[in-house]
Amino acid sequence: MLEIVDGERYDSDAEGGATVPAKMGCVRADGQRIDVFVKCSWAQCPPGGLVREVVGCLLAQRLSLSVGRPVLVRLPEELTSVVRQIAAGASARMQGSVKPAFGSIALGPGYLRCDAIDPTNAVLRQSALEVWAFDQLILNVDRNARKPNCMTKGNVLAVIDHEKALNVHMVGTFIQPAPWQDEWLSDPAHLFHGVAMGGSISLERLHGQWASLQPADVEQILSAVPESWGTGEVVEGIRAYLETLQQNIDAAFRNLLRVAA
Amino acid sequence: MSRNGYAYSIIRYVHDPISGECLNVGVVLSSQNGAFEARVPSSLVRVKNAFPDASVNTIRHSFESFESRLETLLKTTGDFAEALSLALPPDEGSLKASDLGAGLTSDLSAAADELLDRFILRCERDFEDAQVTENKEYRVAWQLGSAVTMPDCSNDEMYQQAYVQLLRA
Repeated sequence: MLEIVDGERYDSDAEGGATVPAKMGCVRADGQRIDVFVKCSWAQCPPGGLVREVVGCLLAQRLSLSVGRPVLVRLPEELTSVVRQIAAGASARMQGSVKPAFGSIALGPGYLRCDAIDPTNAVLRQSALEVWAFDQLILNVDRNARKPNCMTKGNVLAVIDHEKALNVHMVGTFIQPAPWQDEWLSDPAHLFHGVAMGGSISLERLHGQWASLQPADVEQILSAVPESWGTGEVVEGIRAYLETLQQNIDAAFRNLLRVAA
Repeated sequence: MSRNGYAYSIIRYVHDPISGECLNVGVVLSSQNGAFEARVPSSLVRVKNAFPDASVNTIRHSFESFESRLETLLKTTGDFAEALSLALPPDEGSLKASDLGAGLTSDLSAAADELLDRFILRCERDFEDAQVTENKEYRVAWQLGSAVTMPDCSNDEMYQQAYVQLLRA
């Protein structure tokens, strides 16, 4: 289960994202106040996108990649009503969204958009490599030079925004070979494509973590998607993909190493 | 306890209107029933630290004057956004109002204290990156310790234990 927090304050819309998350102050069950980027379902982000957010975040977390901590956000009608007076668009998104909405706890100050990493920083290089591999396996086409969806501070590389990952509709066909199939090729537009190519890379840690995933782990991740979203079909598609990926995880990592060689 | 809606604005001090560099120096908020609160920190030392030739007394006096104008205009207009735009019109002065935010509270004074803490005082304290889902330190240490074989870790707690072992090695 994901933590559920209560939306209490709308600060502004986040800049730059097509899905227009709202920066909000929220309250935890124990009364602690936290800053959350709240993503509602609307025309630019259908409920299936929120499912992908949940699964992408929890999977990254389970694989020990740095990621904004996901939460579910209750948006009371009285707050939507107040926000309507100062930000009609945000209020409309909140009003029309599936409930609860998806949220990602703010990373904190000092994080910069990561357009590229310092190639001499071994820690960042390894993290970038693992992000590259992670994205290939979750079919994430939304981390590139135009939209890094990746923040950095010191030696931390934190990934955000997974609503376009795990789009499994055509996977396994000749149009989109699965990552474990011989015909598979990596996405050359990925932000860290250059980091992965042409050098000696190690994916041992990530491979080990992924191989250790049990069906119960995948089930736990998928069960975090609220039933109220009505996205059972999307969840089932992702479940089938992740199960097949799990059965072929060694082949998938061999492919990653092959394309990087 | 019933909650009322309120709107708020962060007041920023722009030291040099040409460069546009600024710091938050206060918050003003008003509830739907017309109640009004304003907060400015007891110390503006960080303004002085950032801009050594800033006059903290002038900033404080200017804020108090603006606060008084805003409260009066709010009573006249009954509209926080309008009163704010009249009390602090866009110009080349060094106090600027942010776009409005909004929230719910059962205690406007407490909400003002929270906004002061969140948008100004908290910036003076060290933040912990507690919201990133892992303690990177132990993983980073493992990555750098190439001589150390990675144990079979299936959760963060196991990584932490591995890190402790790494430190002891």
